[in-house]
Amino acid sequence: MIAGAFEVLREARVPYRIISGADPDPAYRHWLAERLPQATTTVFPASGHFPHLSRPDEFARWLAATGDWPPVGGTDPSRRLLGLLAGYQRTQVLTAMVTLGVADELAAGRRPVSELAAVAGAQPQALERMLRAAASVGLVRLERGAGSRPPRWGGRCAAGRRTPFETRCSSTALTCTPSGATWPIVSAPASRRSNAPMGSPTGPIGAAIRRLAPGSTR
Amino acid sequence: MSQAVRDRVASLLATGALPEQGTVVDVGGGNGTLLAAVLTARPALTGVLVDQPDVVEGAARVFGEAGVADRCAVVGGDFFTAVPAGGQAYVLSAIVLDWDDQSAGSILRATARAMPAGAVLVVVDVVRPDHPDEAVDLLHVNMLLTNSGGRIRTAAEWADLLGSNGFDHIQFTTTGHLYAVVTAKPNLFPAPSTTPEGS
Repeated sequence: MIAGAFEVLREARVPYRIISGADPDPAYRHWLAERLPQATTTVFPASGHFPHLSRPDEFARWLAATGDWPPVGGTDPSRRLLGLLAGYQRTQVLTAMVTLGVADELAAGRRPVSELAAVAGAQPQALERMLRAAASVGLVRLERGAGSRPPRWGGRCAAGRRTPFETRCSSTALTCTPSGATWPIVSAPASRRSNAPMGSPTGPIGAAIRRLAPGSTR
Repeated sequence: MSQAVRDRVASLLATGALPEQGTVVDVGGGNGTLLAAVLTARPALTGVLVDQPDVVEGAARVFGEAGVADRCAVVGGDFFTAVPAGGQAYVLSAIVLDWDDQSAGSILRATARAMPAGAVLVVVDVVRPDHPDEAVDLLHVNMLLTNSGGRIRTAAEWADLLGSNGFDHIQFTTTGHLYAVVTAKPNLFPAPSTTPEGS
């Protein structure tokens, strides 16, 4: 299967750049050159196991310089860099998923976001915001439930309605489904829920979501 | 100039949302970095910078260094209550996302009241796509920690907000940057106004 994938990449001349913290082994270089002649290797000396995190600026420049990127959103270097810089938010979203108990609720499968909010003691809109972040990093999928309503437009918004963005209203009944590949690792036994890092029972994002819940004191 | 401001200037200039001549009012324009870049690129425009009095203090130096001081007025004020009248374009660059709907509505209505018929509102801000978008969604979740009540709105939510606070003819332009450009026309026309004057 891997041989087939190399064949497809080679035939399509897909740009291929390896960024490494050290010079690759000559045998590996030779092996790769036979399979993907278009591959180039860039070394960030002494950047350790995670060159993209050690030198995000440089990484973003190389990424932008590799191949022809399509000219629409998601290809802008500063936008990609922003994504790289959000490592802390990624880990905290994961922490909040577990410590709010949302991960365990989802272990059984699809649940409405409103129910998850009730279980977590969270403000539904804040939880939805967190679940959207979880969806963007591949932890869950969000789908509109049966109670969805069509887009709601301002009374005076007469013209210019067609936009290049999707315009369905976000604050509709959503359901949340765990994405299969990561799930067995994400959900935690109830006994371990309180062992959150960062010195607070839920971590800062989870705490913020609970702080916004109805009836809590801010 | 930060990369974020550079992106917003590029979006403003590339989308054709600004007029070639007339007065651009930058509402909540900070120390004038964005307005100075816009005036540099468009020599026939004049500018008015509006922000809190202690914030605009640094603007004279920014405009002086950019060589646009003779085309720019500086106004210390409060964008929740009043915005200088009489401009042809009103810019809100990365302002609205900081505020909840009620506060954002106050800013928009104060701006709409200042705008004569024919003026254009140019919002440079993040428009959240409906599908997962890592950069936007992680920024949005971080705003739970850093920002009280601010939010990143979808196009439908932007249209709701603008349509409920004095604007119509709402149009969106994607830019490839994080920041999209949203233009709108006011429908709360003020009493006949004068061209803003400033120092």
